[in-house]
Amino acid sequence: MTTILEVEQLKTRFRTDNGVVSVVDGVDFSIHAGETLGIVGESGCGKSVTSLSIMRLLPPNGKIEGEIRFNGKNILDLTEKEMQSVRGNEIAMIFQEPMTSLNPLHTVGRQIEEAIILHMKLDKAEAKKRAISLLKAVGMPRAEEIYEEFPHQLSGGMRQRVMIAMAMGCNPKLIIADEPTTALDVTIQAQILDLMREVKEKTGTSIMLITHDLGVVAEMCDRVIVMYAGQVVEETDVDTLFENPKHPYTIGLMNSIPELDDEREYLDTIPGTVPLPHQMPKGCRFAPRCSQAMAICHEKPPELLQLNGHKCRCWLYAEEGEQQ
Amino acid sequence: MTPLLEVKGLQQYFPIKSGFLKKTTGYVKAVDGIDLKVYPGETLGIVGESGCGKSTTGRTILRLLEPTAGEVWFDGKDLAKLSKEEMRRMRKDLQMIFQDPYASLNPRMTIKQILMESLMVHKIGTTAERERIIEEIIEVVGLRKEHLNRHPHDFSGGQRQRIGIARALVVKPKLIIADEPVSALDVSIQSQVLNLLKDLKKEFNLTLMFISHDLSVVKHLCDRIAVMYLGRVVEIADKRTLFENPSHPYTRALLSAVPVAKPRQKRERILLQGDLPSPANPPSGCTFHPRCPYATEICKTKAPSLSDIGAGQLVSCHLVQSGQLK
Repeated sequence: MTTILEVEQLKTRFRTDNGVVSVVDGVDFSIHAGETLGIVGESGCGKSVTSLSIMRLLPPNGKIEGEIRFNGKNILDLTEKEMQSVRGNEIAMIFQEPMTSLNPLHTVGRQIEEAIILHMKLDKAEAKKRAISLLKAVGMPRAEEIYEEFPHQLSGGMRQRVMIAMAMGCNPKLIIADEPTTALDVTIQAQILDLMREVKEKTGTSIMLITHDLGVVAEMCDRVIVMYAGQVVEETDVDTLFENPKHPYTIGLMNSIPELDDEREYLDTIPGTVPLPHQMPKGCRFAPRCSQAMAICHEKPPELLQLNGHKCRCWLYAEEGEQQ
Repeated sequence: MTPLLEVKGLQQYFPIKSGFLKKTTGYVKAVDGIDLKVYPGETLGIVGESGCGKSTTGRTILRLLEPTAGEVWFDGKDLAKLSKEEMRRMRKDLQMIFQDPYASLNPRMTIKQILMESLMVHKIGTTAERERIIEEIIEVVGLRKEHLNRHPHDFSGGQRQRIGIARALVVKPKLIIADEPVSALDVSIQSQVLNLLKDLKKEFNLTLMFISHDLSVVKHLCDRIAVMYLGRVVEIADKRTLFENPSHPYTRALLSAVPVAKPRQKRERILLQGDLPSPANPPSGCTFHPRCPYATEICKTKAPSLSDIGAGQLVSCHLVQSGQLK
């Protein structure tokens, strides 16, 4: 299996009024060709900043360290010009808010064509043809008419289809989708997830799917990373994650969600809140909220342990990790 | 049992004004004839997707919006006919919890001032009594007395929502309308607030109208559930009946669309075609017919009405009522 993206010891920091704040702190993962990798976590865990770091789209006060190898090349070494030929061409992104990420002043067609003309060197007529066929591919009715329309004339679900058409424009090897269905209603979400699965099957692109919704993860992903406070705390394939979650945070997260076939009177909770980036605990970052925390958890930060195809950052598995 | 709240034929139309003279050229029918009953001590859930009118329904019942037509019977009075002053006094018994805990608390007031305001407006207790009530309520919602002198920005989203709940509870209302109270929160915090609401329901025997788009949350908390689509209620049933035997084609599609956190479980999914039509120009007949996989001729011309199909399950669908759709 070829690996298309390898992230190694990614650290993203921001200069703020409260000093330097480390939002992503030593994240490692890789994405294979044709795979959907899910990144799960709650707000502030660094999942979106990880994706923006890969695209090198951080605001000026952000600084990236580590290595991000895409097709073997470290994209942090690329010049801004070289990076432009990666963005939208080899790696495309789908954002959460289809309303704010489309330009309200340009027609749908023009926005889809922009990247196609830039990267694929097509002329206007060919680009238009491709844009319309992309609109049809994402299941838009009246594709020729919608090509001429503006974003405000479309519904939320249709706008997200336009975003997906734009992302597919140059046949990227990797699509990063940051909460692509969070702003949508469930029946529309079901349509969009279905479309994304179809796109993946047809084109074989890899998808990095960032979400807080474990239901979406279960339906879409092959492998999953769980993030907490800027670090990866667990990584495994999707079946193992749901059948045998290891990290107390992952378990807590799963038990705190009400499900449709749930008969529990009370939900389990994770007490407290996520630590702020400039007030990280000394030991394990989850220790203050963890019901199984031991003395060592408050003292020493745990490593991401390798446990037989399952990675977990937790002292509970230290012995098991050593044996393997 | 007599209902605590009975809504009859409630309508909320927003005029569309256009042209230089701002003439009314049409109406957005946000709520288009709703009948609901809420019994004492129960939690009625209202679910539906964005634009179905669920929030507008809540706001219209509380007269935060003036209803276009219809009756809202509460405690023997028609809220829709009360004067502004009478309604203001009535709000002691009808409180609301809002969705956005960041926007619904005044950032310049301390928590104590926020809670005190409700008591002062409704002239409850003496100053000393008010202090005692506030200290009590802040602990009921899981915060501490020390928190009272802080401002909203000192709190996390989950804590702010607890303050919002305390503000609603402090005047001991008979009915609380909660509009998406947990949707702005992360799941681990959401479960804390849901458990709190469950406790409060028991402790204060609260009657709650819980508006949400999240079916799993509604199922967890509510006793009866009303499903709305395009300004109308399409199905009402008790929780168990609705989830075990959803009847309206829209309810079926909605339930099947919820992603389930079980990767190996393959489910039959009903994918609805298209989007929600505009409430300014709703389809003829049954408003769901353009997206309904079972629609027949009658659905295009005649609007169905809610009727009992047994066990208190009310469904607004020709096909279910005539037995064509099982």
